[in-house]
Amino acid sequence: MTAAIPRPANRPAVVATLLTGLAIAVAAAVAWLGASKVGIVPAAVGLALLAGFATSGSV
Amino acid sequence: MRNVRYFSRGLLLGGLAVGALLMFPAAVVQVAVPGPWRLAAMLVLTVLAVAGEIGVLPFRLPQNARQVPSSIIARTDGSGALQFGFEMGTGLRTFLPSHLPYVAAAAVLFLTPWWAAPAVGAGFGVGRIAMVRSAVRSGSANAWHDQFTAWRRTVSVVLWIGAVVCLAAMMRWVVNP
Repeated sequence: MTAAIPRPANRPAVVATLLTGLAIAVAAAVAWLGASKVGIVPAAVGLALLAGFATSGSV
Repeated sequence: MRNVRYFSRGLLLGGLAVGALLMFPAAVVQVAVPGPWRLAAMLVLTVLAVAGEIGVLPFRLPQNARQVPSSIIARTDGSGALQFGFEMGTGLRTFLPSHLPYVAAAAVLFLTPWWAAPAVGAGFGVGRIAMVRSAVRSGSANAWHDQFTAWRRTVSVVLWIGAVVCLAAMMRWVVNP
């Protein structure tokens, strides 16, 4: 009889999320430092992306 | 997997729809309200959202706290997943466990050029898609959500830091166009 092998904790997915959030923050910071009007749109989209991440798990 | 594809399309369409709906009010606000006032409103709403997030406020910002009906989810031809995704993508017919969407919506009204509102809405949808896809690809959505719940505080702090950086970038443009 073969026992079911438990899956390892799914840490990579959460870490990937954290890293993505950080990457977006860095991208926004770069846009900010660029002092360009164009930077405002990626910053806004980045903010919305983060909001999408944050609402994960709701139904 | 087909349902995931329909669900993802629904999420994207829902975000786009809300963004498109926000274009007109954003254009009106940005024409009618001077920059410093918009900035002040944005700051007040952000402080309220942060306070709500950390539980300082005795109330939550308003949300349509109800689940999408199971009759929609039960449809197996893809239309159920599409509609479910659309309603989740709008953020208007679901629980909102975070206050960040309020900040994003306020940023569309007060800071972002009005014509970019659909792109911002799509960004919200893509954010939700990324999380759904991540959960599905992990092989065990339940285990993924357990992990997410266990890490929620850390994830939330990181997301808020990112959000504040994004807001700072936008506010800088409004202050010094």
